[in-house]
Amino acid sequence: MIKICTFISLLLIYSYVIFAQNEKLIQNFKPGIKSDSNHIVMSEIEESIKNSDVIKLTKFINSKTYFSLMGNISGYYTTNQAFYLLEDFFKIYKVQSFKFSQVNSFEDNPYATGTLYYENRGRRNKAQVYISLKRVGENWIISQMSIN
Amino acid sequence: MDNKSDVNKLILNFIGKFLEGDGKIFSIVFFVIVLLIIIGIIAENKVNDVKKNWEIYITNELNDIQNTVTREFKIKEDYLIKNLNKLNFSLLRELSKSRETYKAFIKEINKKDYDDFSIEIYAPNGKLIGWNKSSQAFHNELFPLASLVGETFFLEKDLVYCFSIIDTFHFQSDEFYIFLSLLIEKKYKLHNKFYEEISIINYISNKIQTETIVDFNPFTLPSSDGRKYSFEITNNKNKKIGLVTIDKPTIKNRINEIKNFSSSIQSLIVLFGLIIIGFGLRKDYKNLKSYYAKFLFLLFYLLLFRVLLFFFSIPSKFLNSAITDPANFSSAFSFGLVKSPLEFLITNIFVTISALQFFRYSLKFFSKEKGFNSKFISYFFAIIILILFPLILRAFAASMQSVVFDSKLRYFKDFEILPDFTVLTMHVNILLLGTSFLFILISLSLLLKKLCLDRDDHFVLRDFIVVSLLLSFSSLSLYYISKNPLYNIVNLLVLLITILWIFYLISKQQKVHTKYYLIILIFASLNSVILLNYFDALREKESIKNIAFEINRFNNPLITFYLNENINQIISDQSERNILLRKDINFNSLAFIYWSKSNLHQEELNSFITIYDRNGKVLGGFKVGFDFRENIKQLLSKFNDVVLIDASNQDSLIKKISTYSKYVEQGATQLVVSSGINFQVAELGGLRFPEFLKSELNIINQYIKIEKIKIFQFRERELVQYYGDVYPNREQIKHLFELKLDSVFNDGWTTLEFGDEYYAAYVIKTSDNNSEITNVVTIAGNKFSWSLFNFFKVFIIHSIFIFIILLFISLSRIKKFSMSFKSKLLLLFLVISILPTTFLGLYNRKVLDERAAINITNDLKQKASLVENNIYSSMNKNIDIDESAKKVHKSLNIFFNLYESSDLVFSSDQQYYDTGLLNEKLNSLVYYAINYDKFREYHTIEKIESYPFYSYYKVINLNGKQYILNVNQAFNKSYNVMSSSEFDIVLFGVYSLTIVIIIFSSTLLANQISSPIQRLTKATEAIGKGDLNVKIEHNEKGELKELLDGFNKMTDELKKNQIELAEYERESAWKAMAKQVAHEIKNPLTPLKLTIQQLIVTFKERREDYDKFFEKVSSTLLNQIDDLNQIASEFSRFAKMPSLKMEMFDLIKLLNELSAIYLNEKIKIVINSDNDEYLIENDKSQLSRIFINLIRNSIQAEASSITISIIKTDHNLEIYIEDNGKGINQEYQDKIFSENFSTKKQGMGLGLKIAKKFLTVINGDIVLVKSSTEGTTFKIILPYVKV
Repeated sequence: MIKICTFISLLLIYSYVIFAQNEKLIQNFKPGIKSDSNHIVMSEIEESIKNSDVIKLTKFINSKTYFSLMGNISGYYTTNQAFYLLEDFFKIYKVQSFKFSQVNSFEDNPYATGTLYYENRGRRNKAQVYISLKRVGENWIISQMSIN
Repeated sequence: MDNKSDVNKLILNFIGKFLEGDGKIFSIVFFVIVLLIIIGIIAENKVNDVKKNWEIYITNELNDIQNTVTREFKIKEDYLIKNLNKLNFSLLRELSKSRETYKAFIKEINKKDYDDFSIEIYAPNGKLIGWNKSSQAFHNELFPLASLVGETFFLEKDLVYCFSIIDTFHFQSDEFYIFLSLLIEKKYKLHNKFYEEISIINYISNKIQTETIVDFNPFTLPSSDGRKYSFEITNNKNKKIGLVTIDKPTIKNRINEIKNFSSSIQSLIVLFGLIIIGFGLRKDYKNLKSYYAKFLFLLFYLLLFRVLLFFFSIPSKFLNSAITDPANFSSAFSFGLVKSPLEFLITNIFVTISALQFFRYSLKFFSKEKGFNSKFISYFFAIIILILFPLILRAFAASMQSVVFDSKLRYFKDFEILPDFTVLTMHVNILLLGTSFLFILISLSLLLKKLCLDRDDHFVLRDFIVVSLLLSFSSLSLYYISKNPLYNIVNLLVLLITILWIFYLISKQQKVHTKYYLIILIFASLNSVILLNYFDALREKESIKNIAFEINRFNNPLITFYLNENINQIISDQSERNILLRKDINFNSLAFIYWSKSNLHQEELNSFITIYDRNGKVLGGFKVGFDFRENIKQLLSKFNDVVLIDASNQDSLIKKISTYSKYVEQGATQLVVSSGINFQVAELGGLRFPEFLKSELNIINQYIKIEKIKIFQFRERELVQYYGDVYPNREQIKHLFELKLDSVFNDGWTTLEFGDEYYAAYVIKTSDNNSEITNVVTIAGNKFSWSLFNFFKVFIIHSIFIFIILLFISLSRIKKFSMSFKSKLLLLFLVISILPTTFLGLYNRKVLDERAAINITNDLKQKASLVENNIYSSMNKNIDIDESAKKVHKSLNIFFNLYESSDLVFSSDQQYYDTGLLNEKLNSLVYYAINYDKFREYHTIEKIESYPFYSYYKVINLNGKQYILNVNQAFNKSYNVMSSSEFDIVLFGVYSLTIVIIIFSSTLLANQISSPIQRLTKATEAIGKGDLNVKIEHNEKGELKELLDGFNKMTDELKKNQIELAEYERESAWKAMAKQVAHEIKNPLTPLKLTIQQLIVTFKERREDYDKFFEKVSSTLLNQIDDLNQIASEFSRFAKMPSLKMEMFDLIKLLNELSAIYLNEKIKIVINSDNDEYLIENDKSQLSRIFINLIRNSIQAEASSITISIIKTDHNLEIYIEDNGKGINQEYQDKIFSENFSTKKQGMGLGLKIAKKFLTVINGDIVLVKSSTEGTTFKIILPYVKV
């Protein structure tokens, strides 16, 4: 009886890993932050990039987000892919400082640009950042994120 | 091979023995820990050493780097000089044979050996007389010389840097000049498969792991920045030709490197330790009796190993390629264990091993263990399985969905039959995934049957149907109640049928043959490919959403950002500013370099980059699909630094934005740099881009073939732009606007019909400048040829992989390679059928290619004729050649080039020549053919980077002058009925299907032919082992019938003869024995008679010594009787069993050998045993006879299955032989061990009697356990002492 119990338990664990785990991560990645002001959202994004906080950043990402990052990364990715891509990206390009230099809060197409200073192979360099937002229901999500 | 495997075995045994015992494992663990500590201490010491001696260290490090870099340049230089010498030598040899010197020059330098080099030959007066097909560095005039003769130097051209040398070549008192150049650096970069990256700077940077700058200029001064280190590159004459500048290594970086290196070593040691521990525990693992414990142990070990691999980032840490890129696949599953194709593969391997073990243990539980005593518990777990089964089916579909949707790889988008390594890795992943799920699902089916219907290993069709219905019901229920069932009903049914069929095969056999693993692998592949195809089709449909997002993404802020970023990158960089101010620079090339490295190229945007002088006159530019202004003099006065000009058309939604930025130095404008983007739906996907300039980073082409889609853009319900060759009618537009859209995303799906085809249409609404914009993107379904191609593309790769696995397994198992008759037959069939089919396929491909080439050339010829006639007509109207050519290009829209002698005089797309991307000099092979071979027309395949295209040249006469007209495929779309890729798709699909049918039919045919032979072989083997009751039943006709009937007849005769012989022998033996006995008995009888007669006489005579005599006679009589008794005993001994021939053998092996004899009979023999082997000492041939006798009895009792179970008791082995035959009548059951009892017509009744007799002799026994109409069970007891 113990044997079959263990078999079944393992199977339950297995299916949990497939479903529950997926569910959990999807919840973690649930995109968008409810806010009437895209300015607040831009500040949150600025903070996330500055701290290389991928988990926080992925809250503003969904499969409609276009990425254009250094190292030939460009396209639309699922939230899972985006999470690991950004994680790898910030591992390679260690953020030294980041600030938006221009934030335009147009209701239709809010966007912000800034300069990101990073370290790669012990060498300090900079990249231009462009972030644009899009309203999806009550939430704001990133429609484009370019770091080049 | 035997020796090798023996050596391996010895080594393994040695390691195994060495690692036996807890003490040794403990020692290894201790050793590993000590090693880790030592490495930590060494690393710390090294760090301290680096800190303390940093100055010495950095000097050594910089010396090493300098030596490495210098060596790399030296290798290039040596290669250059070596080929120069080779060319000199071959020219001398060839020129002395030839009468035409110049012709020989061109022929020789165009040899394949020199394809890596740009070669030019100059006459003694410095005029260019010959060049090769790779030439790109030439001038018409050699003088003034770029460098001293015989000295290597760096040559800077518009788009490239070369390592060059000029040398002289003496021939017949003339001195010619050879200019040989090796391309080492490209200044531009294209993002497509045709671009051939050549960059010595990148190569060196990667090699020395430091950012490197190479100035290909002898006059550059070393960097004054203390953080940098510069050193000179010298040539073959030890003169400076360039300067290399690198970032000096920092102490922080070096310490990090040491720490990373030591942690990598430590992680490898930990893993090594874990492997060693696993190896040491191998025997303990084998000795574990409980499957449950074994499985848990294995699972724990594998999990630990996998987690450690992941934790230490092994092997991803050592690889940096597409297979470690999360963009190619990354799933949220298991905390990153599958975050890239490589990690997915490793996890998959571990999961497959676990699933395989789960399957094996489930099978053992299914066939041997007892189920639960409590029905309640059984049903409880059965219900859990019924819930789990559909969930795991769904999990399989979810995993396959993830493989497609969580990856940027498009498995079926491209035509390539052979995928790249990343896609190949994913194909293997897909197969492993399918195999794991199949193992688990089949295991669950087996467990369910065991839990619900535990029938002591009997297969009952009714049970199978009940289990199948339960599983189907639960799967279909989940499918119908689920909101998003993931797969469609066809996929689900195919998967269910597969699982149930394999479940049926296994439960019927009660065991798994190797062929079932093959079946599982093949069906895992089939189901995976079906799901992959299904999800890919969905993904393709979903991809059109991305195209809609792309259209919306390009708004004014983004375009402005792109333009400003491009200009800023040029103007804000000091080194770029220095280049811009150079007088000798080709600004067209510079603009192209900037453009190629910008997002304008990456995203295939109709765009330009232009550089103007301080007066607003264009210095140079590069454009695709958007013309720049030739002069901006008027504009200059209207802005200070930057100006943005928006020429967009709000009504048609065409965006045309350009920016102009002044580069001001010391208060004066030096230059103006401008960039512009023209974005419109009608020209999406780089429609105006020549093929060699296309970008793989363009989103639209990344997901889908742009030709498959159609786009409609509406502004306030009015169609303002469309992409494709059709547009919707009124009814369709009405339908689109009546569609109910999602309230959050404002989007939705519908279907449109164009012609006979249905298109899936995605509709999304947005707003722009308070106008409602509706974008509709549609896609047509796949054609059948595509589906066939897609299916076989993956399935064939899976088959190759399965074949490799099987080959490895076979090679590890088979000691001596030999092929059966059937295998030989199959191989022969395959060779004689597949080879011609493959050749036919290749031939067809070749013919189609040739036809395609003819079609394209004819098309180019027609275009050339049109151009020729039109230019001729224009020139008759006194218009000059340049004007005429422009006019003809404009009116015909045909791109062409005109050459006078070998120089370009006109091109419809001049900018590619102005930038230096294409040569203004005529292709040297064409020059050779026209000038020396006197050809009037010539067609060839040319290349831009590695992009091949057809090119047609024709000599034309215009106003008495000879020109060479060139029309090519690179700039003129030349359509064929089918592209070569489409040929491949159709041919590959059709021929793959043909080959699968051939393999299938060949296997059937080989089976059919070899089956009687195989049965004959087995029957002969059975006769050899003493079973003369064997009979081959068949339905064959012709010669095979005669052969098999002959065999049966021969067996009957043999059996009859054997019986007669046995009877004769027995009779003869009895006769001889009787004679001997009579003789032996007679001997004591005579003395007996005489003695008794003497005793009678003595008694009658009443002699005195009667008593004494009586005593003597009695003694004699008793002796004689003893003699008789001895004779009787000897006689009895003679009649006993033959003497035993005891030997050591494996009982299970013997049973397997015997059951193999009956493979072709209608009987299934299953052998169950707790152990893999039972070594016993016994008479092998006697035991074989007993088993054969029992099996034969079962067959004659019409049994269809026999189960032989071996159970070990304290001192014996109990062997149960259980059949499902018609049984033995109750009345006969007591007599079966009696002599001469038989129910068979031809039976002698000796079989069971002999068996009993033999077994009694060896202290064993045979008993009838039970017998009824449902079957008979015999028990054989054999004495067993573990050896």
